[in-house]
Amino acid sequence: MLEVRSLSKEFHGVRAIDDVSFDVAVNSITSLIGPNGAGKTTLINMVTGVMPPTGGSITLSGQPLTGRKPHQIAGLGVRRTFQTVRLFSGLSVRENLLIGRMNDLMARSMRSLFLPMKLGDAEGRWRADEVLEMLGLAHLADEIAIDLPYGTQRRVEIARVLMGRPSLALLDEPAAGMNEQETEQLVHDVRRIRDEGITVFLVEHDMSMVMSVSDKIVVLNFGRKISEGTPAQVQRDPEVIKSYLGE
Amino acid sequence: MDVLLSEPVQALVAINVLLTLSLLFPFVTGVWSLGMPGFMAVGAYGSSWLTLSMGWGVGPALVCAALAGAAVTLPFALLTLRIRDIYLAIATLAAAELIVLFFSHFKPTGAVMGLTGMPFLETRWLVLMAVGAVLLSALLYNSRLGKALIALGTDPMVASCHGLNVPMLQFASLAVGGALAGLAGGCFAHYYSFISPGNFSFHRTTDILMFLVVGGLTPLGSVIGAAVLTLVPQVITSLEKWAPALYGAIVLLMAIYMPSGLLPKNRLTRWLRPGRARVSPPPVADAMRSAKGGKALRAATKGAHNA
Repeated sequence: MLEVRSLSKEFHGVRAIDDVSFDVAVNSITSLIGPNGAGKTTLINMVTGVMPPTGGSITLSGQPLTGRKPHQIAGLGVRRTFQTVRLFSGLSVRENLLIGRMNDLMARSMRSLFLPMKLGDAEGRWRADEVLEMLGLAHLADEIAIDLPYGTQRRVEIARVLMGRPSLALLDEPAAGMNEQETEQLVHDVRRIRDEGITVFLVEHDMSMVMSVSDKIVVLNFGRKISEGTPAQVQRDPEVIKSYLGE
Repeated sequence: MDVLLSEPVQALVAINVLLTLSLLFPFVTGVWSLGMPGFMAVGAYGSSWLTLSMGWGVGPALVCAALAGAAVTLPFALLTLRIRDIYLAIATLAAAELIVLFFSHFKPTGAVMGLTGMPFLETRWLVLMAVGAVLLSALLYNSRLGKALIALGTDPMVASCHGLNVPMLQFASLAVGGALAGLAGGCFAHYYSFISPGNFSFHRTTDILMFLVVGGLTPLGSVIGAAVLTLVPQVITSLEKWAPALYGAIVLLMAIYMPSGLLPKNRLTRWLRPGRARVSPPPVADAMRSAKGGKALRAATKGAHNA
């Protein structure tokens, strides 16, 4: 589904990503792990068009993503969350979700764009309810995003991703700042997203979560791919052990 | 109090409301454009020229004034692609001055002497247009498109990652602002029947900016800011001399105590919703789902209580 080929990114002579290649299979959960500063977020930024790569290519089901603008890539069915929660703070949970659907709506029903939230776009309203129900957030729909506790805001971000019915969802450290229970809930959510038919690409620090949820793991260190495989394979890889535990 | 309802005051409030709305739209999307006096000048001169030289009626001339105001935002829009924030404010301010400078040297429109003799537009039309603009703005602000504009003003990067064409929407809101300023310019020209480049100075921007700071970045806030602050110096005529000082004091107090203005984004809907201070309890089914899920939810609700 997603093919990354010899991808590189240089910042003023520093190689943040150095000749990285890997595939993400359709409807799988693929995780990207690595120590701090390994280039994980940089990689997500390049896939979503936020940063242009200095070399290499990224394709989604055969369509090149490199050189496209973020909103065009989003239009191809790629959605992401952010390392720090970035909800539209003044808007309600439901309104935040709606933004995930805007570009769909622009193409199909201009009339709905000029109507208030409660009117028009019946399908979108139904989808919002469905997504909120699925993540157990239905009772918070009309709360202002910034009033919610941190862990809940993270889950609203995931709901916003689902709202756009993406084919590929990139989750950037969704478990950061969550307690053990919330993380467990998150594992449950990630599996559910995959069961919806959405391919998941996960960047994460929480090893127990990554090991339990991933079909495949890609390991980065100092911008280079040092290992790739199933959780069991990666855990045994001496390179990985060395980079995580030191020599 | 009669002075508050007099026609000149009504006209002044109507024009100021239009101008405040014209700044509001780009601001909501995070485009800090201060080109408003330039757009207003284009509207005023355009509509004057159409009525004086081409013999058009005031109505069609005003429509063209709005369109001209929107069209002239295009070069400003191209600026927004390159510079942002305070730098954009300064650049657009300078660009607006250029437009006004052009009119002060352009002989056919009277240069610094200005134009006079435009057909008169009655106050009720001005008020009608202002009310119409407020209603349309409020509708747009609360529509899906309006929410998208607010969203991209809050965080353009996240908005673009969710499929919003950020530059295009910013251009559109800048054009809406330009159209409103052009319309206000046309109204100004036809109400006072005299315009000169001095009417479109930086001074006007600071006034309107202040209305927006006091009112808040919402259509209703704009109206309240524009109406109240236009009326304050009219209440007591002796205050007129002190108006700038009074305005200064008001802005300072607002900046300290209500930095988001009287009616900030979404505040109104929050006040109107019953029981907004507490998060409504989760449905029973949710709490009973699983011990873990229930606990997490209770923790979440508790957190919201404390927040």
